[in-house]
Amino acid sequence: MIALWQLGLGVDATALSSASQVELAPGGRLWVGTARPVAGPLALGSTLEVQGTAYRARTDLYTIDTTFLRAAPTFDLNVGDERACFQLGVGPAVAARLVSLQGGGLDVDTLRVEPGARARTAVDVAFGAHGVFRWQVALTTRASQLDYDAGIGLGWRW
Amino acid sequence: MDDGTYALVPRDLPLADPFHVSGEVATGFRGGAIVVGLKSLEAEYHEGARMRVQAVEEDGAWVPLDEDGLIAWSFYHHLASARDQLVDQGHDIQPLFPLRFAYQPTFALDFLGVENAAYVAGTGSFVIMPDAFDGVPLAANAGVVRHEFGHAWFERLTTAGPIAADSEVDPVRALNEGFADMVGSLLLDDPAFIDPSLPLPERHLVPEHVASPELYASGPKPVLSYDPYALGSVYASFMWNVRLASSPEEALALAADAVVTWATQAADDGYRDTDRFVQAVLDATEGDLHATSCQAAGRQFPDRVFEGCP
Ligand SMILES: [Zn+2]
Repeated sequence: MIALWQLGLGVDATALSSASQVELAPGGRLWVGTARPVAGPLALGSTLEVQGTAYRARTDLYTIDTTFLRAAPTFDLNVGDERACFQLGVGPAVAARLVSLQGGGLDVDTLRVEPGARARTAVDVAFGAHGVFRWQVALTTRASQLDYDAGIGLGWRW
Repeated sequence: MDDGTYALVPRDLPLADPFHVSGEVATGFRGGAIVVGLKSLEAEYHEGARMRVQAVEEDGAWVPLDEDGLIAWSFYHHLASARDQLVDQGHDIQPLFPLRFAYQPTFALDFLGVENAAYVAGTGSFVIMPDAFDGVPLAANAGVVRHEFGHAWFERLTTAGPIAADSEVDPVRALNEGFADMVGSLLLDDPAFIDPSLPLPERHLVPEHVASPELYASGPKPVLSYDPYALGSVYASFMWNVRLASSPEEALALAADAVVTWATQAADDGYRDTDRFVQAVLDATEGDLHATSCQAAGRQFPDRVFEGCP
């Protein structure tokens, strides 16, 4: 049987699509999840993740600061038991991107809110009475773009 | 800008499709791959996905929302203005368009003489790699884009006729790099056009460069052991001296004609004797310009005797 609630904190490597490649940046992630056993090793649940990252592109000509925040609730299928559990989640996502571009007389601050969809797969491995180690990879669409992230984190469940 | 400095300024882009960076001048792609064709044994570019530039309107101008979009639009702008300049000066370069450019493609083999912004011989394609330094990104540097376009033009000048010079052969690479620097420096009238991106004093055309025997490619050499820029800079700084005695437009026209003359004459020796380019320039000049150019050639190519010069 799988724990009912989980709260976690993790670090990600994010790859956010730009006009012509991906911007690699470290990020952080907070999640809260719940799961309800249905039959045998199967459980259904949902997770809400909030992810954030920030990065800067700087040359003598310009500075572009990007602050990125995304919230994504997923509906999850869990397979496993209390010691180890595999999770597959899909759901909508919404990203907020604050871009600040400065240089040569330009000073542009703009906030973009971009909807998308997220699919992720995670593995939880328990330690101690309440601890969970989580490893996950995910794909998220954002307007016309496709982003990737991979991360590890520690959770507390009860 | 007009004073030779760089700034973020609004540009009119002849772009039919700004989101995908596509228009009559070029089309941009994300990634893709440079491979060597099994039959042709020549480089080919396999296109990646289309670029997708998100932008915001600010005071009537569109501003890309990320660095890569900014660089892609800048590259397109510089390519378009280089084209317009050359067409205005009466050069037949229109058949080269539209070109392609690829942002950070993968290479199926080691790429010879790679530059962060480069023309891939024989493909009508440029590659743009992200820079690792603080200056103006190479792909956003007006002179570097003109230099790279110069390679595409050189290829056309040397292969338009019955003669096909292989631009990857060492002696030809030196003249190719020299001609590309002529295009960059003469179109911008700036003998140090790379500097806004990174200081490269060895590529400055002033003070003038002097040829010596070790700058020339000799015999078969291991790949990558020959530096084509050193001799190329001698040719480019010679043309800069010609420009000082004439005008940027006249010097560039002389250089383009001389490349054609050289390529047409040079089939017999495998294009080895690139100093014939200098001879062709001298042959095409008259009067004071001829005299001044002969003096420059005498100083810069001390081991060579040029016909028609005193
Ligand atoms: Zn070059």
